[in-house]
Amino acid sequence: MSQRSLFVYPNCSSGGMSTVLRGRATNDTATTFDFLYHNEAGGRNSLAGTPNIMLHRVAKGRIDAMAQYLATTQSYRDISITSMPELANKVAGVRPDVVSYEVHSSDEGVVTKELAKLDPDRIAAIQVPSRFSAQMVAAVAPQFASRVSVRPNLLPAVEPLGADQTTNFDFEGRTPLLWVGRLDKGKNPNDFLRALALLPDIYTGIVVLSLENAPERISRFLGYAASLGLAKRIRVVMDLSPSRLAGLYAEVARAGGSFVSTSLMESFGYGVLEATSSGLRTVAYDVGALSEHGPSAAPLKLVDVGDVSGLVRAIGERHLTSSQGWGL
Amino acid sequence: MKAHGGPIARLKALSRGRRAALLLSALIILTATAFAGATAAVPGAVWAIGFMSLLLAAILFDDLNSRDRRAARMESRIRTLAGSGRSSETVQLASESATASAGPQASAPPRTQESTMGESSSERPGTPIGAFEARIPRTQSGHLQLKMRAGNFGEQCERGALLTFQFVRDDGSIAIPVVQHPVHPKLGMYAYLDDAPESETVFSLTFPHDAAHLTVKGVQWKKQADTRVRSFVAEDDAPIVHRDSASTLKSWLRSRDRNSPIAIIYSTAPNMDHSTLGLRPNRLAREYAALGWTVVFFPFGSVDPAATHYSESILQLERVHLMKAMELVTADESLCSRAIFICSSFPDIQAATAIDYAKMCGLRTVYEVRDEMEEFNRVGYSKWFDPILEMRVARESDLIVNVSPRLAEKMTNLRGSAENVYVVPNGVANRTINECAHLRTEAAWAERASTAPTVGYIGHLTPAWFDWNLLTSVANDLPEIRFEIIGHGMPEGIALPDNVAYLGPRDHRECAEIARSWRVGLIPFKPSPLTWAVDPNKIYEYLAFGLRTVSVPMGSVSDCPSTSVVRGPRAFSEAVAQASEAPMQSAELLNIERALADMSWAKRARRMAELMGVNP
Repeated sequence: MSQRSLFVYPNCSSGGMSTVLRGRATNDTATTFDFLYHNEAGGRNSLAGTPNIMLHRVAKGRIDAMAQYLATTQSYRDISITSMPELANKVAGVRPDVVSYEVHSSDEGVVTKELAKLDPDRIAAIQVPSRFSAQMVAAVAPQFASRVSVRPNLLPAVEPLGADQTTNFDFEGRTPLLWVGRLDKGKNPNDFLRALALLPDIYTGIVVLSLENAPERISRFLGYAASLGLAKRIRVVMDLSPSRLAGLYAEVARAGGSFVSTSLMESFGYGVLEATSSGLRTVAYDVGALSEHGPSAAPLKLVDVGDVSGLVRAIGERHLTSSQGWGL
Repeated sequence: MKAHGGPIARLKALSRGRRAALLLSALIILTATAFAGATAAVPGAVWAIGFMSLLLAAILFDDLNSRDRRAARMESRIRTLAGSGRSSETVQLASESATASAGPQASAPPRTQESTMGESSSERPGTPIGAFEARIPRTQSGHLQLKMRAGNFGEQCERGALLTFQFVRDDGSIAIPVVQHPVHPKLGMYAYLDDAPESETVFSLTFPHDAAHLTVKGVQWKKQADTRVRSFVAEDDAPIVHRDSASTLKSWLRSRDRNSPIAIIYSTAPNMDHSTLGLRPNRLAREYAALGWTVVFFPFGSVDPAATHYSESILQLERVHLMKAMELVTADESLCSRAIFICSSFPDIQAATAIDYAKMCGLRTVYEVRDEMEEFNRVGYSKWFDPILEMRVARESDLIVNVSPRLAEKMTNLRGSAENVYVVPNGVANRTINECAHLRTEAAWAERASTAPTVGYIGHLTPAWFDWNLLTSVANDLPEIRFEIIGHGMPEGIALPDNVAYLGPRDHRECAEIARSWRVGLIPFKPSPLTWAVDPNKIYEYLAFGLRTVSVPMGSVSDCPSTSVVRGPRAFSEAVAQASEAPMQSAELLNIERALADMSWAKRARRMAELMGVNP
């Protein structure tokens, strides 16, 4: 491998930025990607299967120095830093030519805070995954507007299952609706539950989580599901490997199910793109960068953000008949 | 400031400022002497003073220059390290002393490499730390232990000297270290030497996968210190190369008997190899293995890679690998059909989501309820607990096995049905039963009766459930009886009566030996939901030791032979006194034997297998 690239991000989880990294690594196998992080959040097993990703876990108190050390001792083609603006300033102090700060959050408040800490005299390039994100960065940090470029995320190539492996998901005879994300307000899992509650019993919800470790968040989610009468109509799984998740997309598609995104903001919409690329029918709120995926994402149906009834109609339209309207 | 050696050494040991002042003084005196010599008749003494001043100036000037040269070399080294990204491949043990021996060589990776440093001067033996460099080829195991002996002849100060560690690839480029020590932005990974005047500092390091050798360099971090390296040893630290756990699991599962049942046990229990602690999951794991099962064990704590293969049939892994294990098993129909996921009193997020995953994949699930975890959470333990997660686990598991009727009742209520809710109490090891058979005889009782009456307790001692007030009250009531207490978690500052002795934690063999002199085993717990729910392992051990038991109400203790279940301090004292006095005769001993025959962990494991639908 002739080239190296450094990728710095605080968390190693099985989703989010780990997917961004896997996308790059699996689409550029001639480059070795050094992933420097401090928080192991269940992603190690997922990334370990990609041979050109080298994992370097460093204690939080040592990661700044380590990043600077690597920047000066390794011949990196590029250095990408996300969610760590102070560290980016330091690394750009020694290798300004190759450092780019990446913005992947769709939360304007988070982006504003991060960019306020970036040193305009040091950071020459900011990369974002979508036009939507570029516009947001230009709006909240005009000093960086001319340095922003769009670098769309790439879908990771998924290792096919071995001959002795199966995807044997059992949806108990129901139509599965797949929701992937974290249980935070921005991802808005409550609307998914409300939509599921409005749909008939033939639908079951499959919720795939990553980076969750606080019992109160999942407890609140399960409690809300139970209060909507969904305790028996929902499955919650966590930290699936990329190949297993790909298998799940395929099984849900085969079972006539849909991928549902209730996110209130998306800087890129990885989950949506993965689902549509798998041929899985997808229904999502029309937010952020999702509309940029354009006509190539044929199975994608966008509805107005917050319109739970619209979501339900879009999910159930293939099952709706003139006599069935569920009152919506 | 501490000065060592002769007058010249003492001069050199002065601070840079003082030496500069002395040099200036010497030059002034020399100038004055020369002036006097040129202008007047000078006595011999004046010329002598002038000569001495000249000598002093020469010594100090040379020393200052020498230090400057060394500092310049060090800066140059740091620039080399931090600048080009390259390091010299020819760096060998370097010393400014002509007598320094050769250091570790790069030709072959011997198991131990040792160098004794030469002496730069008779007053300060050893190589100055700033001149120390060693190149160590990759060890066979990829792990390395370094030991450096050093002395400090300068000022005593904290963090006076350090070593930097730089791993180098075959092509000479710098490898990315496995970070086990602090990192400096320019120097890379480093570690300080011990600051004692004479010290030995030990460092453990791991070679990155692509590193061919390691370069170790010394740095005098504080100028006022003068650190000299006496000896340096590099050893191959770990003869066993450990594969990552997930890979280990995959190959191990494939190497096992293709027909054996597979138990994936996720628990709050300690590691299988823990020396003194062993809970129900540990016991049952061994029994399942004895039945021919394959066991993947997830203990609560971290797992040393060297302890991954606990036995031929039991592999233990860190909890972070749970989903990997579940995926491996469920992706292979031949494994999935033989496997069972057992959540043993650990209904956290991972378990709740793993059970949902198992339900989607057709993998059978069991919730084994050993304790009232809600109460542990209330008294400050088990922070991971949440009642909704436990309810989810209770409702979604295929089978629930409880250790006590109280827990079974709770699970029935959570589940809304008693279907597939069972009680399988705790037990005792067959080995303990067999090895302690001699304690369950009339002769053993006669021996106990021949000495001063002694009773005892084995178990955890936290005041969260151990009733210290009750114990103290009973001990005060019965001053003629000696009370011996064994276990972990002894609270600090507890004033015990003279007839109570704390013996510390002991292993099972030691407990059996100590219990030879006991007449009664005690279970003095506080009344609480936690106590009512528990099924104490200790009662089965007490029975194996041939002891009577006095207990507060809990679990299924009232079903046990030779056991008095009482409430309140007065009744407890009376029961202990009575149980200590009455001789144990053959009928009672026979009752104990009959009960023990059904109380072994082996029997419990068979019952569990039966409930899980697996033929033992």
